[in-house]
Amino acid sequence: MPLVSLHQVHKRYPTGTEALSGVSFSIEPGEFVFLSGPSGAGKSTLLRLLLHMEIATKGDVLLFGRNLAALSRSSVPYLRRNIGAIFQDFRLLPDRTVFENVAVGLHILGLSRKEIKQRVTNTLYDLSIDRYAQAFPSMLSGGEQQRVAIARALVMHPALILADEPTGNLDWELSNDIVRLFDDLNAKGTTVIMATHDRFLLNAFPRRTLLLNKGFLIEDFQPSQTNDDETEEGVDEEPKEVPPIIQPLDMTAALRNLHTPPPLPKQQKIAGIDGEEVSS
Amino acid sequence: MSKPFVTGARRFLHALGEGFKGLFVAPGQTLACILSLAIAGSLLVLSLSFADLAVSMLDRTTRNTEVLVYLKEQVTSKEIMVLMDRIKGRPDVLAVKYLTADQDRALNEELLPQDIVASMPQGSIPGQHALNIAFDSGTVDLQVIEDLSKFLKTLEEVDIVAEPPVGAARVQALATVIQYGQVIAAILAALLLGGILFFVVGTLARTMDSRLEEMAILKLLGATDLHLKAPLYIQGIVQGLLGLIAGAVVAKVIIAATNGYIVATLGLMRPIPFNQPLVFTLAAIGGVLVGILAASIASLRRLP
Repeated sequence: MPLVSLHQVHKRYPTGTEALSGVSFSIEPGEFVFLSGPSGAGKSTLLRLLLHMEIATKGDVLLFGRNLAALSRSSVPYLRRNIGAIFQDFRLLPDRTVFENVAVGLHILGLSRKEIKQRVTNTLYDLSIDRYAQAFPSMLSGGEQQRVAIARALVMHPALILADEPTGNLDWELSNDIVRLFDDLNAKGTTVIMATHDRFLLNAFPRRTLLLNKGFLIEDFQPSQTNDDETEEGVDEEPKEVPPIIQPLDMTAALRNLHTPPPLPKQQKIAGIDGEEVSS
Repeated sequence: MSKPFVTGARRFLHALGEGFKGLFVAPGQTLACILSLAIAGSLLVLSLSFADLAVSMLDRTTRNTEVLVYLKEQVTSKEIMVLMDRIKGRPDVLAVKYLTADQDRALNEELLPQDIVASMPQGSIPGQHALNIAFDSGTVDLQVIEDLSKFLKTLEEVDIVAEPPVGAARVQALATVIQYGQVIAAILAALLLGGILFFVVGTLARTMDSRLEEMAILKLLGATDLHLKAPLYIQGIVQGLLGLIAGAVVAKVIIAATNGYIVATLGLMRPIPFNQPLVFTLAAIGGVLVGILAASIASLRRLP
């Protein structure tokens, strides 16, 4: 059973903006998926739908096998306890220490002080920020603050991580570190969905990518990982070239690709403007 | 202990801690809230206590439409029965009741302050068998009572007729005025409490504003509405309880001081009543209700 499954999902905001149009795809447990596309493509809306912060106007959003539209209000918190949400702006509490920021969600679970201390300490250690436990967020760099935000999500032991532009405020090197961190988590079995428009990152970490533009799912592809090692060696340096998988962002090219899909390796499915899946 | 119970207890303790922390988000405003509640609460208690006094004064005024006819000691029960029938036959008389000497003594004791009664030797309070004649207080006028009094004095069996009260109408009017005053004071105190409720809402809303970001994060991490609201309810209840119980204490002090004055200086036999268990129980219930209501309004307005 897929962990995430969207079928013909539309989302129209009260302002009339059509944020998503007929989007269909599914994600299996243990996958690492990038959501990519330019600003306004619908990446954040898609993540907000998965977090039940928004409801689809039309279509079905299934998470952990449950249709989110049919989910009662009282069930939403229990669903969210299985999701680790990470945002571009970190969303840390400035008046709390790193330890308190990470522990904030554990009180919801009714854990003892000892359990909370143990879990937080272990998570901070795993993310190499244990030495900042008593520091306040303002004393940390952007990358360290994002690690704290990730620790806050991970300490809840989520089955799914939803990261919305988590590297948006970070430089190239720190961005690499963060994605590598997600990669490690994914290797341990956590499903990761990360929204990014950073083409360098997509090139450096060739994973399944859902390409959105103006609310349409343009492409769903698995790039080749043959040069994975080479790419990862080169991530510390500023990439010289624009990765080829990001270039076809203009709609005409994307639509052309839809009708005559390129022979992408490990391609799973392609969703068109009308949301119907087309076999590759 | 079962795991759900332990988990629930930990969550409650956490909410309790967060609720108390909330009191210090805007300490000045919290203190002002508690003081306002104390003032409104004490006004309410004072107005209710004065109402009790007014009611007891009315009761005494009503009692004054009764005439006590003390009988000579040698009057037999047969003669008493005949006398009672004669008096009952009069159109303005509502009822005639025979009092034994002990019953009369008990009534006399009731009219005296308890500390004075306690200090008197046993049996020193007088008692004499008598007839208690009650009139229809709504229709009878003083002239009717005076006429009956004259008639009773002519009877052979009668020893003394307790004179009908003078100025009963004035006392009744005064009691009515006090009762109206009490109603107005109670309405004003209730309105004040209502106004202060929104003051409490304001304090809670300020706490929520300071925690909006945290609550948004907690919601994303899977906090239930109850988890988010619980500290707010605790903060509201603590404020309500502190305020209204302080109000009850203030009222108790004021009433005790006033009673000291009116008993010692004015020589009044009946002090302002203060039912301590009832007042403190009502203050506690009121405090909890104020807290719950204020927290409900605040969370409706501000919960993310």
